[in-house]
Amino acid sequence: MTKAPPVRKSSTKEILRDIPLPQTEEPEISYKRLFESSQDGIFVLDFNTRRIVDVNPGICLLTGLSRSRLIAANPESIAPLRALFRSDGSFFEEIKADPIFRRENLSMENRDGLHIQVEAVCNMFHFEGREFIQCNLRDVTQHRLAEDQVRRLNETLEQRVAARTCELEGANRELEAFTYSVSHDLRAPLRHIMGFVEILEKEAADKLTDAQQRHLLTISGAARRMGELIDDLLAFSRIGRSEVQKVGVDMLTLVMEALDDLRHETKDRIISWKIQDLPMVTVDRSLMRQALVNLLSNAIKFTSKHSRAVIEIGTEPGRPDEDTIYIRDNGVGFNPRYSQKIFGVFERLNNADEFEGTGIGLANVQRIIRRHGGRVWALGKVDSGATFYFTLPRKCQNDS
Amino acid sequence: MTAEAAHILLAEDDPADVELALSAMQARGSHHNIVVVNNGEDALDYLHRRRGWKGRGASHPALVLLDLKMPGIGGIEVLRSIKNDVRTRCIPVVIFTSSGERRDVAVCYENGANAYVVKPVEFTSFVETLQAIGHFWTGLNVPPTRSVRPQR
Repeated sequence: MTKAPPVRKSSTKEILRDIPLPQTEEPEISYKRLFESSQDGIFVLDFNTRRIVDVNPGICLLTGLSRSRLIAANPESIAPLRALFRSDGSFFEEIKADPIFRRENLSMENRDGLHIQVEAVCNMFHFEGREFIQCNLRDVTQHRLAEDQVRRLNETLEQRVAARTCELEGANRELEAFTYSVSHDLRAPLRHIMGFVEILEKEAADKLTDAQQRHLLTISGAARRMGELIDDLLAFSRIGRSEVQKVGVDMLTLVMEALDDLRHETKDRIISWKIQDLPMVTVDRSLMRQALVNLLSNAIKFTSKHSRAVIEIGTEPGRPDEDTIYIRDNGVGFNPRYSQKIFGVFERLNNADEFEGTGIGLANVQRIIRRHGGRVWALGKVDSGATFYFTLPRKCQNDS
Repeated sequence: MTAEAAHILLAEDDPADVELALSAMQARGSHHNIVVVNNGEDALDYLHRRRGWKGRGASHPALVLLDLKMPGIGGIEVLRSIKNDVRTRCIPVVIFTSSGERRDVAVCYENGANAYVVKPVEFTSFVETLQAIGHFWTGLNVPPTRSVRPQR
């Protein structure tokens, strides 16, 4: 049986009723089946008589006309097909000159009286000394609608991108203004708290009880801490705003520079450093150095209670398009449940009095690595050390 | 060093900061005087001997210590006005502000600031910083006795 296209309003059964089942023998049977089952509407014209000699079910569905109505009819007299033929008869001239005839945007009425877009391909062939034209009509209405939509979307896409960029720039400016006012306005009251507490301490020391003096110390300690938090927050926001300027550099050089920055933290310590061969990377020098300082200073800090601190820096095999670098220590480690949490801003897994710091370091690291298009993660266990991994895309890809 | 005692003009609108600065700079018998103005207009009036400052001594301050964020004429405008005026442009101007924003630093240097110092939050550093500034600009630095006019 032929397969009917999606059901439309008029009764398909009615239209197909008088189409006989194909009765041809092999090998023509397969061609016949193609003809019968095609979703395209196909009809065959006798070139000389200009009458229709064969139709498939597809054309009946397309036009809403039965086989018997179409066979032997002059196609120019059939309204839905008229669009294909020009009144001047040029169709037959054209196809005679060039046996493959193509019309991409014919507009015709379908069986429900709706205007549809049709693509027509006609070609001429000879059979037993006579000339025939086979016309294939394809309903491309949905196709054209989709194309139109894609074109319209493309046209508006640029506008939308521009509008969105404008919005984002506005948001960025707002953020910058906020940072600015934080840096300026929050620091002033802190300075006043600390300054006047100190003046009070000096001027009224002999009149204050021990407890009162302790309160003053608590006030100035808290103010100092808040100052650190503000400074760290500002530095963190600066990483987000700064431009990433990538250059090719040896990772080992960056590690050495970072260790140089950390001299005062390592000077009274015995640390066994194991530094493997490290790759050439394409990074923003100062940002990457800052990330390494944060990671290494963590390793130094969290091994400080160990008499034999071991800190390793190396690479791991990973994806071919990126370098995976790790920094491993044998320090206090962390509960693996919190391996994501430790990259949050001001997240600390240890008590403040045990290890100092505000908890911004790893958030900085994550932000820096992400701005380079890389990933960062950590593995660890309580009292069994920690390993921090980060990846960097090889070769300079588009700047983030 | 001039015979006249070197003095510093402090332009600062925040009274608490003024008090802390005075307390810091006078902590250890400093040799310089400090003149305080609370806004940009007064700073420029002082330098040009206008209004209430008509009768002040003839010498320029050894240093203008300038806050950035002030009501009315802000620090940047005061800086521009000082550095664009042939009568005042040789006066050293040190920006003394809460903001450590790179943009502010850049703008100040582009407009001819002689130095940019972020006010330390901690009082001990605040005192040390102001004393170092006072010591350098009124003790070590040799300013020109009068503005050099363009030779053309």
